[in-house]
Amino acid sequence: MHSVKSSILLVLILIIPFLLKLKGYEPYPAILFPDGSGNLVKENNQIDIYVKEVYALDKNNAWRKVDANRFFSPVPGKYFSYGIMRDFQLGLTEAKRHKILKRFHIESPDVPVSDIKERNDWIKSKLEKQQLNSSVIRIAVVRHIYSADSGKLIAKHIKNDKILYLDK
Amino acid sequence: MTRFYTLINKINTWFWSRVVASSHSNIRSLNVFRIILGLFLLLFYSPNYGWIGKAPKVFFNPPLLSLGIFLDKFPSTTFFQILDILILLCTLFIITGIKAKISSLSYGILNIIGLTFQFSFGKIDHTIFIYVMLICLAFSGWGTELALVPDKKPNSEAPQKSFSLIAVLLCFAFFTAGFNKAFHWLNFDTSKNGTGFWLYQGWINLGREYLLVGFVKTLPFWLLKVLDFFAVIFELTPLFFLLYSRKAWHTWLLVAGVFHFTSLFILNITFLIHIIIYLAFFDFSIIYDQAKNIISKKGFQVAAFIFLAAVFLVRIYDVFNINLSSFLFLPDANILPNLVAAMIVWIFAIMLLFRNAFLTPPGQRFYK
Repeated sequence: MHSVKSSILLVLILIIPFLLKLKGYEPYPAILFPDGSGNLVKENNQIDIYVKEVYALDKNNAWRKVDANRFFSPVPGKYFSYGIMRDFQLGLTEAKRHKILKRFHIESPDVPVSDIKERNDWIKSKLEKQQLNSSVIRIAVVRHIYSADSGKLIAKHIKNDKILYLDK
Repeated sequence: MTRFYTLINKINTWFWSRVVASSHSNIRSLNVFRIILGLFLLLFYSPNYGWIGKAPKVFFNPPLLSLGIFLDKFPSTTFFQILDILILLCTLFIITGIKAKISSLSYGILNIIGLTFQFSFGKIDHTIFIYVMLICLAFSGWGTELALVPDKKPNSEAPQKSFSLIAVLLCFAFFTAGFNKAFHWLNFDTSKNGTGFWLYQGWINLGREYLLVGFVKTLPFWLLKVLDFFAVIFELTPLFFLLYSRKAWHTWLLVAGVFHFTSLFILNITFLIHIIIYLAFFDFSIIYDQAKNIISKKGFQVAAFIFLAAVFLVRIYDVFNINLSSFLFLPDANILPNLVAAMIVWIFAIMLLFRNAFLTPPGQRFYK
């Protein structure tokens, strides 16, 4: 049987990370299962979903959506959406990651130019493998509109986009 | 103060005695389970971290509260390949029972280190439970029998302590999954839907478009709302089942199995690791004598050695070529074959969970 002391310790080990997660600072390692409490919203019998997508220029100079799995390989495709959510860490040149660490000046705000070049070279090599122009990519927020009855895509609109020049 | 402490002590004793009554296991079952779990990890759930070293440094974005913040970049591919090989060796040692205690502890800790770097891509997956379970099992005495280099016998309370802890941790983990959902999903607004959120996110971002996904997209929102309610109730209630009775706990485990099996069809999420977590509570002592008899045969030992060596070499090949395949020979990127393989394993697991909940006569449950 577990003692009172070990029970109290267990409660603390479990509750503290959980409370931190609820506050938006999920720690690791911690015994937590996926929350995923978002909702799909239906309006006028339509479902709107905003998705970030990456496009590159093909041989005919037309924008083509890049294949996530091939693009990110060997990094598992599931991290692709998290990479583009952060625009492949484009924002890192200005300010890095966590507000708290920034406040206490623990983190350096600067990312070495060599790291940016490494990232650009990595992206370029991935584009070349898909026979795409490797000098530029476009990261777009795309609005997908689906029929709530059939689940079929009705329309797609680009809401806004960013261009990343890889040779700079 | 003394009265308060006495009350706390009483509550503590009541709580853990209820948990132990529902979740207890025994050395015989545990030692058979050790072999099964080891084989499961080797054949169906082999981690591979080598790919992390191939990613550019700027992707290194560890969660604020993780071991990753003490570093400023990913370690090299060689570091991760050494980690992968050590994990594979630990798996073999768990199966064969070579110092299973230290092997299972090492397996859990090495994976938590690997995952710390994996989650530095900005997404924390919630696969930690199997590693925590292995760390708990390390102290259960599961390496004392059917083992090449057995551990020392622990005290008689060890299996109960380990299993009661695993059961409570599992209940808490599910609670953390259901807590926020309860606030956002438990309403009668049929224009909003949580199950649909998982469905569309998985479909658009991860290519989960197989089995019943297309059909579920055509279902009315009110029907998906029913699934929302069921999911929240299922995730928030395991502790009540655990405290109520052993049969209730085993019934919840069976429901959990069916829940994940359904998720596989409608969301294309395999929840593969949950199979072995739930099977920890199956009474494997019913095959202990047969297992001991088979393992003692020379012919079996040679065949087992050849089989394990062959699988180990395939996994080592995967490590050096950075082939990501949880299931042996099935690349993770091939979603449909992985779903089918997981479906087969789930069917088998659900049959065992059903037997555990309803078909095992109480008198035959555990050897004293």
